[in-house]
Amino acid sequence: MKALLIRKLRETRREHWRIRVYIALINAIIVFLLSAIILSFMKTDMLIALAPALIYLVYEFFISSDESERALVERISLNNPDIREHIKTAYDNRKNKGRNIVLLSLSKEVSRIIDQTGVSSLMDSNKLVFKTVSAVFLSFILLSVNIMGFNVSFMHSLMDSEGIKHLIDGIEDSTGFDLRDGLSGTGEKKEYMADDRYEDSLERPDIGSSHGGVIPGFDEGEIPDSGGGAGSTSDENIFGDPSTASIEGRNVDMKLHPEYGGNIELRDVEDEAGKWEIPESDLQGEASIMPDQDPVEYKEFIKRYFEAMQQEVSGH
Amino acid sequence: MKTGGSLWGEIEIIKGEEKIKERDLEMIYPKIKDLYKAIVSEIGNIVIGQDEVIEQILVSIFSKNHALLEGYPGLGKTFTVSTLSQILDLEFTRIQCTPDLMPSDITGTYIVEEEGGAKRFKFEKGPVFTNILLTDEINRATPKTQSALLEAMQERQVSAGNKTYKLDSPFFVLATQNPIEMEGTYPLPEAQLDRFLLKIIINYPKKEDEGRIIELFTGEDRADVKQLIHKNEFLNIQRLTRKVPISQENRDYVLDIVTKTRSENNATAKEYLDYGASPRASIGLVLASKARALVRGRSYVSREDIEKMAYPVLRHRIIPNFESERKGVTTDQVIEKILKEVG
Repeated sequence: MKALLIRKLRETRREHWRIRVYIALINAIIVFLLSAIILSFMKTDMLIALAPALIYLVYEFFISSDESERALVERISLNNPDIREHIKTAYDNRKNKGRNIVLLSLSKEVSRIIDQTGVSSLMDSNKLVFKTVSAVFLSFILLSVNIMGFNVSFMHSLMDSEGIKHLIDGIEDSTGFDLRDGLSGTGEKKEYMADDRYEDSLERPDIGSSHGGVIPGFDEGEIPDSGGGAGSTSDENIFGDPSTASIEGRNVDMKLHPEYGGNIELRDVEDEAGKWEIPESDLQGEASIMPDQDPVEYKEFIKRYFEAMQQEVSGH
Repeated sequence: MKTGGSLWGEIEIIKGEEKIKERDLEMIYPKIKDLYKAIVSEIGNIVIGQDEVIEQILVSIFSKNHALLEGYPGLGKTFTVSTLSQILDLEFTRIQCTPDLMPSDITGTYIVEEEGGAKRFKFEKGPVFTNILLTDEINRATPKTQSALLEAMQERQVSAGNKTYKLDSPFFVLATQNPIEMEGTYPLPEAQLDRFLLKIIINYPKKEDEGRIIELFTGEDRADVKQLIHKNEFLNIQRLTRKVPISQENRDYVLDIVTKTRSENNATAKEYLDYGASPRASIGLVLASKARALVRGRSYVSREDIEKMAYPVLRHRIIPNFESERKGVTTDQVIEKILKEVG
């Protein structure tokens, strides 16, 4: 019967080992996450954060001695003060020789109590829940830190792999969002603007008042051949005030919206019912990917209008 | 197995007896708690308001030890012990100690006996050959008589002439002493006091208990007690007492308490005590705690057992100094302080 107690303690010890493994893993994850967060602020490769976690695991499983039966008894006693004296007495007298009815009875009682309380008595469930929640919370913090654009070269190393590269390219192509640049590690989030791509990629000639135009006639300012015409820096309203144009005998009210990159409002002044405006929502995004905004029936009018203007200017 | 030889035969017999004894122990063990409750309840019908005293006497008996009862006259010391002996199916003898009481009056003496015209000496056993011996006012006996009794208590045998006579088993001495009227007495020396496991203090009963005592002893009917336990069962309980296990932690607790009664280990002891308790006190405290645990139906010694038994075990083993007497600090108060310090 004394052997029963020892057997029971060994069973409990095995169960406790499983709990210990779980706790050690949670602890290792917490150590990793904490280290990773610190490293991300220090702009260092996050892979280094694996080192303390691995060191902890090695210590826990290889260097730190396995919990002895005595320590287990202490732990059970600590978590269950009501059975403290029972279990300690039974364990301390486990090597008593000879048949002892009182000790046998105590061993039976302790085994029954261990069965009832189970392994739950060996772990602090609150502590375990706290650790698990902490691990989840730290994961969120780490993700947030990375997405907010702190130096996370770890992400770059991940992005270097071919599969992820293709995936990111696909996302960038479809959304126009530069993921790599967004996580560039400069610490500054680069905001996406519809005309950024245009600004960056198109090499347009210097125009406007500060530069002077180079296209004869069209971009000239007040003094011919010296530049300073309508430009992007001094006056963006290169089309002037809204006015009524007459195209082929029809008066057309035109309003240009350069800030949208091409919103043209055409209104037949003689036919109020026929006025229309391209919805602004259709103008979101890059000009290159925008649908054809001009209605077919006005295309010809507009073309001729600009040709007439060109001829008139040339004539002068 | 070889059984033909006399030695092997004896071993077989001993083994068989052991098995029977073990079976008896297994039978009595689960019943002890209820038995104890029944005994206390039965005595409680006649001895009113002395539950703690009864428990301590039983603890002393079950741990095969002796007890010293101290209380004022008329508190029912003798009555309690005689009632207990009836319940326990034990032989009971009482000696009233006086200064002229001789050792042979206790142990027995050789008398001349005539048989077939020839005269020869025959040992006439004294009152010590019993199961429960109540020695009233032991401090009134001379040191020589006290020594004779204490030898019997310790060795459980009596030596007369060149012969030794074994005492009956169980043998239990309950000595009483009166804390007043100290004139003409021979206080027991510390070495002899140490042989009593417990010093049990009997206090005055509460007012309501005393009312019941008056009713009980002035009425027409006299309540009787019935025998609840047989001698064999009693002996088995005594054997079981020593089998109660104690944890290392509680054993250390006992050691801490006892060693703290020594002035070299503790400031309180230095302040109030001349002498601390001996290792016999440690043994006694563990034994008494085991017996208390057993009668309470517990299969282990708890801290509570040790704390409760520390008072009766230690109070006659620590010698207060002049300072404590001057300040009116009792031995129980010193023990309480030490328990708090160790706690």
